[in-house]
Amino acid sequence: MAKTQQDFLVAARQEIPEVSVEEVQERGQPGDDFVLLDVRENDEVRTGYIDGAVAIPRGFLEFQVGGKIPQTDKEVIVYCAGGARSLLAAQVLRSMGYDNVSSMAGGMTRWKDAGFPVQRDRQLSTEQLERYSRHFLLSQVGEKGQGKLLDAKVLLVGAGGLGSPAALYLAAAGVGTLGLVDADVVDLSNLQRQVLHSNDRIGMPKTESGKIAINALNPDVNVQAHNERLTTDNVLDLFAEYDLIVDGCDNFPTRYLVNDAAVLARKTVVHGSIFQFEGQASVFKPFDGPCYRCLFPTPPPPGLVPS
Amino acid sequence: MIGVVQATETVKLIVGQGEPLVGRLLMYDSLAMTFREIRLRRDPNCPLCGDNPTITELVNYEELCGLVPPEPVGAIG
Repeated sequence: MAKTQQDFLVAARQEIPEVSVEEVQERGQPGDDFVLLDVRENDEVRTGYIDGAVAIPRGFLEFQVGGKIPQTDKEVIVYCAGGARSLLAAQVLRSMGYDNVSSMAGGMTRWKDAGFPVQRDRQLSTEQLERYSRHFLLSQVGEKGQGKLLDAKVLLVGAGGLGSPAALYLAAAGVGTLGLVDADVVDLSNLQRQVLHSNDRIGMPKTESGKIAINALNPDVNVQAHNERLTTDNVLDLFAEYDLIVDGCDNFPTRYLVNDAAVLARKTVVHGSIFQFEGQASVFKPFDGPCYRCLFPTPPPPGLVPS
Repeated sequence: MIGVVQATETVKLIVGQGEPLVGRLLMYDSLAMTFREIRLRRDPNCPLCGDNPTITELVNYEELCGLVPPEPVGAIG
């Protein structure tokens, strides 16, 4: 005789112990001693989950659990919306060798009714869910990482040869705020490499031209156009508004200014420089690693080395 | 190429994944198409981020780079 939903649940209850939401709450933050596994669909998880839970939709359970919960002797508490899917998922886990598995009775519904805290990631729009969908396939990024990118504020010093590709890739990745600081205007001779600009924007300030290109690629990005030279007078105020500095400048005075201001303001600089066919890159994280002056305490004599 | 490396490093730092180029200088030669890397360490004698820094505020960077002569000290009297 064909099995019904009830038959599945009755069988699962005989095999899988259930724990109450109060018991789970008392266990505190999941970590070394146990894993809290959310087997709901992604759109359900988006509406709120228990802090510290690992999420694997039930349909992907057999495929992803080995990667996310490698030790089969780990205690796993499974939950879903109402406590039924978690029972069936727990049965699957048990048959895969996870011996210490239980199901949270009543699921997320009862957890919420009990007034326990619910974690919610940044809410992404339907368009954002599609735009960044390839990021969600990478466990290292995911929706959480995308939220961090959308919240991040990055200042690009120079919207030229280095700043152009950097700005476009950061915009595509969904960095929420991009500041461009540059006092130049677009020149025809720039266009052979400065891919942020275009023929019809010759004569326009590079910050304005950059803003057009960035928003054409990704309207999510809030572009701040700082159409000015970086100086000792404005650098600290500008840096204060941003989390990270990308140095794509083309001269030594600005490079030392960026370095000194970043160390004084404790901001990390993603450094890059190029000359003809060679280039170099590094990350200067104040006091965690060297700064530019650790490498080059004093600038080269003027005219000896091109910037 | 370098700009894209910078963008990648920036994304890694924001998301908090991978090994950023902290303490490493990546050197790229497009004609030879080679990447080399050298290890870098913070210099305890660095005038800016060393153990006893002598630079504690911003300076005149045009002057530092020898692009303008230092301002003359006003004559006394």
